[in-house]
Amino acid sequence: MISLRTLSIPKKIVVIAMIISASALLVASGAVLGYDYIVARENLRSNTMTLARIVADNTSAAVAFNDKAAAVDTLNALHAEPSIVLGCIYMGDALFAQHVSGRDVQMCSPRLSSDPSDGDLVWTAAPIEVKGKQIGTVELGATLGPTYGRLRFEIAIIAVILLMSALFALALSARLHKFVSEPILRLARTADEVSRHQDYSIRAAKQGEGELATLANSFNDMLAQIQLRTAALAKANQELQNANKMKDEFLATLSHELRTPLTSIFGWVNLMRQGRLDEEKTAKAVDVIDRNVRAQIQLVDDLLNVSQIITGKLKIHTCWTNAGTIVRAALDSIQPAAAAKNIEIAVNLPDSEERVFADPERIQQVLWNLLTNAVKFSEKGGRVCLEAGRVGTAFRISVSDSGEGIDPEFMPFLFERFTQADASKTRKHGGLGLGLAIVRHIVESHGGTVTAQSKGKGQGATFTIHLPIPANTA
Amino acid sequence: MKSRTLGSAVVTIYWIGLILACSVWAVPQAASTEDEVKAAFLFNFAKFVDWPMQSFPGSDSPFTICVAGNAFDGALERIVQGETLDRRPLVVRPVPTGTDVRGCQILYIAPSEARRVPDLITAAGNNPVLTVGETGDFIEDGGTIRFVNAGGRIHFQINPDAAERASLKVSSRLLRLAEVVRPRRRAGVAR
Repeated sequence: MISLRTLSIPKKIVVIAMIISASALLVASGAVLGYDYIVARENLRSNTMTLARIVADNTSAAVAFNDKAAAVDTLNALHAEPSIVLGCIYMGDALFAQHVSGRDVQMCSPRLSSDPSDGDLVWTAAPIEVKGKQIGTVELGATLGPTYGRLRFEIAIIAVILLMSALFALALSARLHKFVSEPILRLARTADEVSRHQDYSIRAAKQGEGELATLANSFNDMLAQIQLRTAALAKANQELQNANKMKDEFLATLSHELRTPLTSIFGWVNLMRQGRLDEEKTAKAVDVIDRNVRAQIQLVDDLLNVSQIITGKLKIHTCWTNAGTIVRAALDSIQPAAAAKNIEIAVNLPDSEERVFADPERIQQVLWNLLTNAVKFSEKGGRVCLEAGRVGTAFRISVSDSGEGIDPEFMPFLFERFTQADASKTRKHGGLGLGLAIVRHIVESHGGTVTAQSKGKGQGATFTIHLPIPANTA
Repeated sequence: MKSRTLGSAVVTIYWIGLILACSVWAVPQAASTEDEVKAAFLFNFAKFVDWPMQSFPGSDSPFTICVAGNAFDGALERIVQGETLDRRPLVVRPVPTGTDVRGCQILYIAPSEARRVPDLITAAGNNPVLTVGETGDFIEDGGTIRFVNAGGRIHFQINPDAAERASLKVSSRLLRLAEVVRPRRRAGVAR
């Protein structure tokens, strides 16, 4: 048996429409047939009763005068009524006259009317009376045969109507089902297309009003959300991949940067151990070793700082302090490196007594980082300029150089961790790419800002720091 | 399956019915004598003929059947014994001689009284008296109903005109059983 559940929606609708129309028709025609049968039976009974009374009246004299021929004559008039198959006249319980028509072998005697509705026969009885005295009884048996014949004909007609209405319902619902099924099918096709092509930009067509329109709209909304999420996920994934790549690059850089000073130290230590160095060369060796050790310390410090920044453990201990002191301390620490490259550092510090509310060590670290970068990226004999002074409610420090400048494409990633403009292994400049990230973190921890400007490659660069000065400054 | 057993049961009942019917018909019925039949007919005529109200002196006056001559051998008395017609008791009154038929609703003239027929009918005149006789010229003599014995079977002739003259209403049912005769020669009845 075919289950309705497994059918497609259009077929379901067609089948349901046909079932409904057929069952409605069946119920209606069943009721009509039943009513027809009851009415026909009742009509037959009352007609037969009337006939029985007429026969009783017309045969009273015949019965009284014992004239069977006359009684049979009267009974034979019942031929005119085909439904009457049996007419019997009794005197007391004895049969007086009878009339039999049709093929029925049924006879009048003995009296059969004990059961007034014997199968297909409807029995009625009427007394034969003369002057108020009953002298006999007329019993008529009427067959429901013609009624059954008519009912059979009606059933045949109903079957034909049923067939036609089924065909009509089929034709009608085959067209009308589209109102319901078409939007659902369209939606299903859209959903299928979306899942097959993984294309979340496809949208279901808008369709009218009602639940199906709501369904389509909700479907579209969900698609839109999926599209947004997918895009966001793709972006996040890309970022993760970039971060991973950056970390790999950083590891390579880190090992390289850590190895480089050790090579130098190791070489000079070997030479010193051989004891063939004169005094001047020994002093240079110690210098080189010292510088490389410091560089390595700086590297490890930067790493520690970044680690602290990531875990949120980098603490800022602010206090009122002299800005000039910080600037000079930073300048002092960079001087040897600048001198080594014959770079002049110009300082413009109008009021060296200006005070800032900051962590002096960290700000000094910031300045040192900026100055180290400026020296690192400047040509030999270049010029670095440091300006510091109060601007409004902020203390501004800017460090400019005449170096190789910043590629505008790199500008957005300048302050990110582990990023360097030139990340290749054959690059000119060392470093881990942590300095500016640390600078930004420290400055922003102070509530300040750090910006970078460069007119492009070879045009030099300027880094500017603004540190807010609290209102209760003296 | 059920209908088949039901059908065979019905057939069996039919056969039983047929056998019973044959056995009932086989019972010999007591043969009625001609007198008894005629007496019963007389009583039946009373049932299928209407007499005008004024033919009875009172509402409980008896219905009188007068019999001229010897007839029925007491059968008529036996039949009407205890019977009533429209709440009137039935009475049989002999008319041995003479023509005094007043108070008779039915006047039966036995074949033995053939010679008295014209006088008796004349005596009945246009009064509401149903005259019944058996003589060959009874209808022509102005009688209303005449018994005829045809091969042992009793039937009767009715002259509706005579009944009409006597203001009697004969039921059409009775007329249907009877041989209706209208004599060409008018009976010698004073009009």
